[in-house]
Amino acid sequence: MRTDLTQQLIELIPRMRRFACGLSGERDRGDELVQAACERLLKHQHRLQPDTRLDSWLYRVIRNLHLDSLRSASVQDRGVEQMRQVADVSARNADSLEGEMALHEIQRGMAALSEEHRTVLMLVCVEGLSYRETADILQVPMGTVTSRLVRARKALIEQLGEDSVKLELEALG
Amino acid sequence: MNDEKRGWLGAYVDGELGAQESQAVRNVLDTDHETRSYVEKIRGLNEALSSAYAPIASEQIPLSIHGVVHRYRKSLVQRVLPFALAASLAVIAVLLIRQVALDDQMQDQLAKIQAQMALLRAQTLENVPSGTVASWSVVPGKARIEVMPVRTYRTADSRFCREYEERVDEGGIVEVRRGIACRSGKAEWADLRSGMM
Repeated sequence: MRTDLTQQLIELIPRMRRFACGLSGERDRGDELVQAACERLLKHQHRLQPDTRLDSWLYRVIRNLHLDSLRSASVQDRGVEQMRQVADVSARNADSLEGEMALHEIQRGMAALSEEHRTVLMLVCVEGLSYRETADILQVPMGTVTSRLVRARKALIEQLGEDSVKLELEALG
Repeated sequence: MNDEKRGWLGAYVDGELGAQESQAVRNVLDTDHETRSYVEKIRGLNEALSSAYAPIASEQIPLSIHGVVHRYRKSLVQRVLPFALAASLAVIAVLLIRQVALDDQMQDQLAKIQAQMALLRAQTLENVPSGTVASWSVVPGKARIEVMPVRTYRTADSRFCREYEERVDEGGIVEVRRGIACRSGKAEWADLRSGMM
């Protein structure tokens, strides 16, 4: 059982890194969040219920750790500049220059959103979770997930501008 | 368009609606340009978001995170070490007694099993990612080997080496070992160091 847990954890780490980096907008900070969540899981594994979904548990812990760190002014001050680090690194892996530019813009747009909006977009649109799973992780009603998504999408489209969205779609197309 | 309708269309794009409601959306899409345009925009946004962050999930896991899981594995080892040590001493004692009793034919058979195990270990190190356990039956019901590569690294002279743990069960006599092997050719791995845990 314990060996299974570490194996399951290793398999989930790539998704958790994607979520944490997207959430924090900072590469190193994202990895720190994942590392702290893994430590917490391994330390408190005996408290997990047998039917606990590890991925949901980890998403929730990463998000809570991130919220804790946002409360510290030093982290808050880092702001948008560090969002660009994620954009720079990820964009290097894009297939084309147009693709790079489009992806860069998406991540810059995300950086300008509120934490609440960024989280719901990451969970639903990037991680592909259902509204029910997202609601469970965020511990809010499903209706709240729907309305946050509407506002988050609206805010992101405003950040990107109508034309940018079209350009990105063409570039990704 | 109000937020309620935007939410409804978003749920359609996200696959949250049932068959009947999805059909209702499709009926509107056929006739209403504004609705169609919004749905296309949301669909594109989803795709762009997914693509923007996808590369992060394909990257190698940083050593700092690997270290956390590895440290935990080590602490497990430390916990079972006294038992493993006692079991290993018992195995050595049994092996010594058995060695005296074995005739040439049995020794020959043992050598074949060990050679087969070495081959399976090499195949595992060649093909299986770190943290995954490969389980092999060498002689059905009598001898089996489980190998788990733990870590991979490159030496200064550019050789690939892997740490591994293995559990060998020969007729109920179980031996747990940890070792380091380096790649000397295709599917050829030479033990640099190995020992019982």
